[in-house]
Amino acid sequence: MKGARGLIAEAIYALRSSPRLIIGSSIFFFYVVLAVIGPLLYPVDPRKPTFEHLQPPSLQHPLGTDILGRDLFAQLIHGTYYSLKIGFMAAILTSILGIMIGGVGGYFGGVIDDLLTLITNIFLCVPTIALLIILAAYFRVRSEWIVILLLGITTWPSMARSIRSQILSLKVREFVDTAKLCGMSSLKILFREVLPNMLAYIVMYFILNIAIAIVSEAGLSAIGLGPTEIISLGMILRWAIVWEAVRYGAWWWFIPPGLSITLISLSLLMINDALDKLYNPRARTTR
Amino acid sequence: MKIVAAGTAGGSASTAGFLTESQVKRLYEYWVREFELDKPLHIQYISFIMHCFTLNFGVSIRYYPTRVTEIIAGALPWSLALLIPAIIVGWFLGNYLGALAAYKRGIFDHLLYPFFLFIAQSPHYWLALIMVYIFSFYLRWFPLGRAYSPTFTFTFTLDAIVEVMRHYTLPFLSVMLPYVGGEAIGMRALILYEMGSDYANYCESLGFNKWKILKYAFKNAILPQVTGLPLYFAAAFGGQIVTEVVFGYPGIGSLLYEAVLGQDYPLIQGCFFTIVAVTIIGNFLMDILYAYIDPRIKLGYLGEK
Repeated sequence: MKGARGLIAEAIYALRSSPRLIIGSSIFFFYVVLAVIGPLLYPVDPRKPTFEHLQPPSLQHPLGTDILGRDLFAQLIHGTYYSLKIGFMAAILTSILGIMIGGVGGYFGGVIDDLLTLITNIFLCVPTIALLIILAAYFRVRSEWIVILLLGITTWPSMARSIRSQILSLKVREFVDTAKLCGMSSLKILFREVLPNMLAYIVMYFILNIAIAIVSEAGLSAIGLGPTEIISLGMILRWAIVWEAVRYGAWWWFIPPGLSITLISLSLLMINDALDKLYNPRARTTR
Repeated sequence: MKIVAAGTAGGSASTAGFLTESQVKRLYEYWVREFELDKPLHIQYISFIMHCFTLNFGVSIRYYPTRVTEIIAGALPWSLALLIPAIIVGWFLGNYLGALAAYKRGIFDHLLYPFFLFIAQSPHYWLALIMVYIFSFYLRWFPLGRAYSPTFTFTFTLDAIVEVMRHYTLPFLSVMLPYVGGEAIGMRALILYEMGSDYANYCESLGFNKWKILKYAFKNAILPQVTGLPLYFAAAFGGQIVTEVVFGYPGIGSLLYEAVLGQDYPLIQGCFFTIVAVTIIGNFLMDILYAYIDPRIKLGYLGEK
């Protein structure tokens, strides 16, 4: 185990060796800061209608206003906050499900594995968004937590599959045999010995899951089946679609939220890719 | 998932405000029988599974007397007409551009690569909005979405074809472009890897034409790209659902959305079944294609027996 100082040195090395990591993490942190500090610096109610309809960006409204005269910059700040929150929470849920299902199936094998692989494959065949649409339509009122739950239970399969294949290669290593000889129980070996060895992999998948959850939530919101009580980036796009922002030529209405979704998921992808290069020496050399 | 869909069927089908009470009651009873709501859940489910084999999903609630199969048969060609060309064109264009970016390097690569990354990550419907803004609002080349009437029937006259193409172009581009981005990124990495491998260096030292080496590299790099196709197929189909809703394009996605909003459970089941079936059939066809492209796969299967 490395100490905190070792970790910091490692992080500095990582940042210096990979410009992609710097770009990715700075974009991501920009949005995190925007979401957390934004409401304090720019305390405008994103839902309050005014009489200034469809104003283009100006000093008073940095990103203009929508058709009800609501401030779009305030909406973007709140939307970013909730999109990040939903993405983060859903990614936690997805990772837990993925690790449990993939890990247990891969480690124990046999009938359990066959069954879990079958379920995983069935889920993989179904386009996630179709499943999400049907499930989301069952709730008249969808809180953010319901959406997080739905995203979690629909996006785990690809992670479960990758975790399973990793486990398959790890479980035949010597240290697992040693642990067995020491008399550890299977579950203990799985969670104490095998899983920590693939921590880097899990972290990378977790980052990827955040991006997937944010994009899925935006897609769900864009067709009107997202969370009903909050403003997310997808909701802003939804309103822009419903009130036909394009017909008014209100580019300031629909470009910033979509750009934010794209940049957030792109930055997460870049971080993921850079970490892959760091942890995987083969990818490091070929570039 | 089908249990849930089949089980909760109905409930809202019995609201007809302008009839007298006894009429409502009779209508209600008739509909309950019609949609088999009087039977217990597991019987409903079994009959649903049985009906899946005969492609009989019953009658739609929203478009009442029409059969679900008919509605889907009307919508599916539109969806496939969007999906299949988008995937084929996107695959070739993406692989070509990716290989070109890896081959040319320099400024060409520096401009294209971030662009690929960007469009691969941006949501389909957002690209769609931007394209509608540029081409329909600003340049006025194409109509502003939502233009097919449900009664529109396709005939092979020049006017109809032009009309369809005018409405088709933007949804097509918005489904295809993210896909081009994804394919190009993959291809670029693969070609870079192949161009640095031993055989490429050997050919180079023999003084081969660089295009020729690229052709060899391309052939080697194409395999993983074909392997990735089925995964992309599901993703592209999923993304298309949202795009269809945004554009008002009369495909399966719009139908599913309408059905969900109208709580039209037979139609939901039908759409969902169709979406899954199309995805599975697509994957199956691509597996066969894969065996054709890489003879070793076929040998592997035959050798096992």
